[in-house]
Amino acid sequence: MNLPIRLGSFLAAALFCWGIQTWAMGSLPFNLQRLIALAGLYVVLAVSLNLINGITGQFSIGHAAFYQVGAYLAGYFSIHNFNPQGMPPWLWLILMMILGALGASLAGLVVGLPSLRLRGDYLAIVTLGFGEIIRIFVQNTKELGGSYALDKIPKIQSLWLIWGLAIVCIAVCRNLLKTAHGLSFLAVREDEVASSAMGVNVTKVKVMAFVLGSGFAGAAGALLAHWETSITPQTFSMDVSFIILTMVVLGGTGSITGSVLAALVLFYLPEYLRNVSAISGSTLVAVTLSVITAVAVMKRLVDHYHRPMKQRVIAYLATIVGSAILGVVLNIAFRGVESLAKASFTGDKLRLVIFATTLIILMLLRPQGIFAHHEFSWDWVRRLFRRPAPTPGATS
Amino acid sequence: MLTIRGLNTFYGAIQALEDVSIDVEQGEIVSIIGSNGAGKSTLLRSISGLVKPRSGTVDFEGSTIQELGSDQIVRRGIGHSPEGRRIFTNMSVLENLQLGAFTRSDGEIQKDMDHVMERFPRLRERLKQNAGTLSGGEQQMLAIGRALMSRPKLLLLDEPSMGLAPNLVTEIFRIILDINKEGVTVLVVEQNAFRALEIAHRAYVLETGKIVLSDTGQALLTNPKVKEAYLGG
Ligand SMILES: Nc1ncnc2c1ncn2[C@@H]1O[C@H](COP(=O)(O)OP(=O)(O)OP(=O)(O)O)[C@@H](O)[C@H]1O
Ligand SMILES: [Mg+2]
Repeated sequence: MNLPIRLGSFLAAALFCWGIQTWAMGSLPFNLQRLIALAGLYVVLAVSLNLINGITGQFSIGHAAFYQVGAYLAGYFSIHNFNPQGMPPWLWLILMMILGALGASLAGLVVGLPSLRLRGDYLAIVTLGFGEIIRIFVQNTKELGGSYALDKIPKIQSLWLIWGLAIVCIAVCRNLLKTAHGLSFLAVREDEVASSAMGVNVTKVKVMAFVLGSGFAGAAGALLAHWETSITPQTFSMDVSFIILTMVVLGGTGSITGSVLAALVLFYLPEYLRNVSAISGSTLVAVTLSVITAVAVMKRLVDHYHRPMKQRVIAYLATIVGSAILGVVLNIAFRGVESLAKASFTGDKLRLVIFATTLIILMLLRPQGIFAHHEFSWDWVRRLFRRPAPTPGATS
Repeated sequence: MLTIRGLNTFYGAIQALEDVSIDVEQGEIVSIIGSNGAGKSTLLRSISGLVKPRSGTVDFEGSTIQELGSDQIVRRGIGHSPEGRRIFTNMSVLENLQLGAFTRSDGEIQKDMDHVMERFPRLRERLKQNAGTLSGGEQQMLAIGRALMSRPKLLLLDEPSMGLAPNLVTEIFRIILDINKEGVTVLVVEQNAFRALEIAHRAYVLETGKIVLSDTGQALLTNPKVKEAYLGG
């Protein structure tokens, strides 16, 4: 990357952080500010887990544990040492981020060193176990609030720092991929034996990725602690680990772009569905049937309809429009069925069902994740709008 | 240049190499022939550090290397093109070659890259292409080219002719001779015993983990035992 682009990206990032800070803190209600903050933290968590699972091909499923280590470490330290007169709060928050990151990296090193030497799924088991150990440790330590909350953490809320961290995390992962080191990360994912034959120190690469990824999660934890001012072990339950993992898998293991988008969608979708008003039984049945039709047709298209991009897109759109019409017709038809029309389901109840269904559908239609291992780039946008040039042989 | 003495390598309880001793002199092509499961690949892996021998010594240019990690061994000047090529199929040809030079930081990487592409013009045409889309022969060339990118003094080749059509096999062996003429010492492992013995200065026969014969390539070609077991009578 040349200097003007670098500078430009830096300025754009700074502008974005400043914009989000002034806009959200100035004009949004508190609960929306919080959603924006948490979304940023989930971006950090997903992108950093993607570095471990996607880019170097390991399988860590306990990412929330490192989030928790960062949060409790920074929170606890802050409770006892924060002095509002000492320094500007944002500077203190940065220091706490660093503390959280160091603590989580160290934990990552301790967990990673022994398990990363081994092949296969040991890491998955060990990270899962580590999460439980941390949870139980916190629950049994009165100093940390036990099963209740660790509260009275100084309230330092900074959207620009949260989104700044997200951007730094994305930038670090992206730049890593452009260097010789990054190439070795990808090589390890593809073939460990061939990588060692090339002189890549496979264990070192894995440990580096793992420690770096854990560190980012720890920094995110520190920010969370100071935003919420009160954290409990439940904040970091296994569900959280699984949600982060789902984000990475859904976005396309290995794609940073995919992780970012999946983090945003998977974070906001349940929040949005929480507010959906009650749905009648007839609508629900109609929607379900039309979705099933759409998925079945799409699945056939994905598997058997190998045409140029344009024709495929038209076919997909036609399927969507067709099933939407089917849905409307069915809805009218089912309204005649009294028992269905009377039943009603609130969005809150349907939330998790819809969430899970979306995942199943995506895994059916695109098991490699939405972005597979592709990245967003301006080149790619340009190509999309240009006529496809005849490429010799290869398509990827 | 390479001196191996009393090497024993195990996979768990299975002993794959038993008291193996071989020598490779500077500038030679040395072939190792043997049937499936004889331990040929294991021998190369033990040299390049991909598996750790349980006992015995591997000396390279006067220093012991069997304790070193594979990355250190590559840095000492041993390049390994592993069995089954194992190119990075989801990466471009160029990236594969760059990874070959992973241990290097000198300024001559580009020069060597050009040299590899002179040797394998087909790679130059496909530099940006995904390595997985290359034909079997091209993949083999990439595997050799990639190993050369570390600028090895000793090149370990594991079954370079595997799965190739006869005319390509001829080409690959011609290329191995060329590489050797430019000063790279070659240790090649082959099931295609005839070709391997033809180009070898010296050769060893490996049977169930033990060296059972060793002589010049030419002598082994006419050795009745070798003829019967490996050259189809
Ligand atoms: N990773 C491994 N784990 C366990 N046993 C192994 C492993 N790799 C090889 N072996 C065993 O070690 C012995 C030697 O294997 P090796 O791959 O060195 O044979 P080879 O001579 O290269 O055979 P081929 O010509 O089929 O490639 C075999 O009995 C094999 O089953
Ligand atoms: Mg073999």
